[in-house]
Amino acid sequence: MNDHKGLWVFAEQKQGKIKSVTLELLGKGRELADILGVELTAILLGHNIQGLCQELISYGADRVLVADHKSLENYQTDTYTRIISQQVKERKPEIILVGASHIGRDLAPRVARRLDTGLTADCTELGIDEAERLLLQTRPAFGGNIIATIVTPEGRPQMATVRPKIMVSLPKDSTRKGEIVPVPVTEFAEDLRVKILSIVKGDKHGCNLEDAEIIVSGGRGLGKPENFKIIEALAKALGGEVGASRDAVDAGWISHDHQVGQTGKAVRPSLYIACGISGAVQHLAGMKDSETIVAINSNPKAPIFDVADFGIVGDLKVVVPALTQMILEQKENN
Amino acid sequence: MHNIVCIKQVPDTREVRLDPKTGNLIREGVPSIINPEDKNAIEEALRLKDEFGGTVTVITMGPPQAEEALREALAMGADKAVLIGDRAFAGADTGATSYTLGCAINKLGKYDLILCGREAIDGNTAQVGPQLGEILGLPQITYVRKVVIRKNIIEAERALEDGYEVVSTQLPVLLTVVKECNEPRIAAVADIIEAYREKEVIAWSAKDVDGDKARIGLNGSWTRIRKAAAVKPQKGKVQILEGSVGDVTKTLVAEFNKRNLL
Amino acid sequence: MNFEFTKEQLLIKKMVKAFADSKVAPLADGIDEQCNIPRELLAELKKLKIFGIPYDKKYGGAGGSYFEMVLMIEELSKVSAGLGFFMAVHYLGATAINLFGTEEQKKKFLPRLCSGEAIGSFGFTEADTGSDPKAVTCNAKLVDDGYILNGQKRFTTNGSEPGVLVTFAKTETGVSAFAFDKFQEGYSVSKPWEKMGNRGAETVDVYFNDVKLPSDSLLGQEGKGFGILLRGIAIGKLNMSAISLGLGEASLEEAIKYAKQRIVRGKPIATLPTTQALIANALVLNESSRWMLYRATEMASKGLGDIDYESAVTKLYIAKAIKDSIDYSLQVHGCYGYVRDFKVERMYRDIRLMEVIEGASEVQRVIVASNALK
Repeated sequence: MNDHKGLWVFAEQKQGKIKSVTLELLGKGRELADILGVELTAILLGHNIQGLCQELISYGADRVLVADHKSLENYQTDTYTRIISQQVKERKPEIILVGASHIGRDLAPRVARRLDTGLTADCTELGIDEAERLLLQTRPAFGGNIIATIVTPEGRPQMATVRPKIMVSLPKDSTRKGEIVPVPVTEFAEDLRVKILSIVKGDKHGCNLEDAEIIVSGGRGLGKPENFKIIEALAKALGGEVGASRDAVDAGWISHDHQVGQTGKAVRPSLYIACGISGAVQHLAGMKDSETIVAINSNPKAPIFDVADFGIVGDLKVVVPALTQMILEQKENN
Repeated sequence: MHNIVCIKQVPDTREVRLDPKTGNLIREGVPSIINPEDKNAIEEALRLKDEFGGTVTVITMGPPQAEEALREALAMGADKAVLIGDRAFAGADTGATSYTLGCAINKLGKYDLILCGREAIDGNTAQVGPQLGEILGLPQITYVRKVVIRKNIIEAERALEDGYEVVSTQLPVLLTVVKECNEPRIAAVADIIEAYREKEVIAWSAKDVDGDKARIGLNGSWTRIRKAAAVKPQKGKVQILEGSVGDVTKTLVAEFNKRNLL
Repeated sequence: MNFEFTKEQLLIKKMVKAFADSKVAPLADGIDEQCNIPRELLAELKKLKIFGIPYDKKYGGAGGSYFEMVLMIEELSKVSAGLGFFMAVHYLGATAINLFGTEEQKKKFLPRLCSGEAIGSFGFTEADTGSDPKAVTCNAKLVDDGYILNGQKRFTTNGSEPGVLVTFAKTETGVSAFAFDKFQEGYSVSKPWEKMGNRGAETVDVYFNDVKLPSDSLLGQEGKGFGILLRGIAIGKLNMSAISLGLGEASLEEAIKYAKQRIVRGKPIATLPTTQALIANALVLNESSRWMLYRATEMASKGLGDIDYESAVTKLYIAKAIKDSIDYSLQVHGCYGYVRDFKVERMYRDIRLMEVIEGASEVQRVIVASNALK
């Protein structure tokens, strides 16, 4: 056990672009590695991705293990699992962090089982028990009603997937120096059991509230169905989905698949903006676990303000378009 | 075609309430249900049975009352149900659970598909499916939202954050399905009566499953819960933004930036 | 005594509720407005296999009991009493055949009734008779190979649905019961009555104009129709009470939801003692109705006690109790309870039927009192 040293981050990239969750993990990983007094390594797989190594270093990695090969161009469970597991067996890190993305959640369990070690899913908080050199993996469970801290006392490496948009990345420092270590790649025919036939971008099946990171919801306070356009505009500006209260759905203003709450969908996005929603218990039950909640309502006594982080008492028909405008301006300037 | 569906009975976390005084979870009276995406997995197996014939076996690892989940699956149309239950399994983490399921599946004989829901609503780990795939040495397709089978080739749509990919492999394969995959059928009343009065739920103990004792239950689990607490609602933490519309939107956008939301 | 549902019953309740919430609720207002069960919904109902719950599997039934049938009707009626009524009347016809039919008659009619391909109905009332058997004017004349039926029946629910009718007509020896397929030559129906509530199931008058009935249409013995009527509607009264109970529960749920959401002077009206009193009143009536119905149904399922009496006392109580219960729930809504936007308005109309159908409450009182005084 003691021969395992170092903290690794799985560097997820897609079409030559590092996923933001990877940068967030490097930020957190840097902090944890410093506590442990070990190196922070990013393991990067892909094709024609040499250019990304320095970026990973700029965001905090001491070392990048890079496997660059045609067969790694798109994520593929078998190949990625084999290469990462081999590297872990060879180099013996004590901790591996993986983003809880669709890819990370496909990969990490497979790797953990192959290495026969523990894995904690969807962590929202990470820390170190310095006395025992253990990774403290904190995550919500039971529909967000319980928060549990989990450790892997004996299995090595200790593995965790981490929810996106929770950890904060470090500011980019292009002057940082690090080591880049190429990983040899051999192809195995048996790795290619699952073939990717095509990748389709941007097509989503209806509205995908559960997975949305940002949700803008409208309720009875919109007054009429046409006002959902205001909500849609803000959701679009934020890259989020449109939600609704039961009242708005029952009134026939929007379809049921948008409904958030007890009889609708339970969501926990990073940002939830409730517009003209009073906050009946049934609605709160479906969204109160969102990371940041903004309530916009004309009634200062509306119960939605009890669960909100930020409240604006005012006319949503004025406030929401102003907010949309400001976000669009900021996006243009960037 | 023989398809095996792994299901879990879960408390309906959407019905969980907090004690307003203590802030603790009220677990009593929370109904137990088949985990929603596991129901999609059952439906997909039944849909394929409707199309190609064959049999559907449903298995679960859990306490005796998990039999109710299996009875519902039988009522939906599954042919065979196995309840893997033993005190020796208590405290299993996802790794030990997938090991146990793997042992049980190996005893069930030949199969074409293993179907799981993507994740359970009580744990939200999404780990058992892929770990089971690893144990059985199967290729896996996770986040499946559509399945087409021709002879022994499966073509599936795998949901991505920003779209989907179409992938293909030979059977047997392990799938984890998402709720967009289908709309699970509602068990018919006459079939419920039949499932309770005429169908059998096979009970397997640790001995029947015939696994390595060191790899099941708490002993076989690498992870340990160090601390768990109910999340208490934080009332009155709201910060009411005041001033002109310009002021409040500006403050809000600044907060969004601080929290990395844009 | 055991006051718990079996696991099987719990799952049935849960599945019928899931069905009602997902497939019926979106159509409930339309069912009421158009007084019609959409054909797509009927197809879904067949898939739910609810048309032959208490009958033997050899006739295509589910092999369950009256209890599961009652639970199903209660759950459907929470969302649409019109649909609950449709099912209840189907069972009125089917149960008469199941109880009094010969082996051949059961084999002839029940499989189609159990699958939902044939919808059951039950015609006793006539324009001038109410439910008095002596005044029946429909006439079945014995001929060589059967009977020739003439006359008309009033308020025959599901009379316009293809399927099987159980009806009553005078024969030489008295009133006899007959079961036969609707819409054969000489069978026709009026346009539907415009009802106040329980809209969805169509209620029509049916006309028999020289309808030729084969001899195996006779249900039970000739002249013994009245006994079939009494026993048939005894089970029917359980289903009517199940509709009532469903309405009572659903209306209270609406009232509670409303009371929590409706803010007056900065506070939800649920915090007001006056609102709480209304809710408590409704709850007591619902609870007492529930246990009375479940007890009577359990007895009927097990063949215990005098079911004619038990179902009469049950319906007599529940029809009034739930009418009052819904009245309280409507009162919680204030004027909103009086408008169509709120579900309680429909429920208030639906419940009113229960004090006049299958023997008005006055008739039930006679049954109940005679039993006490004998």
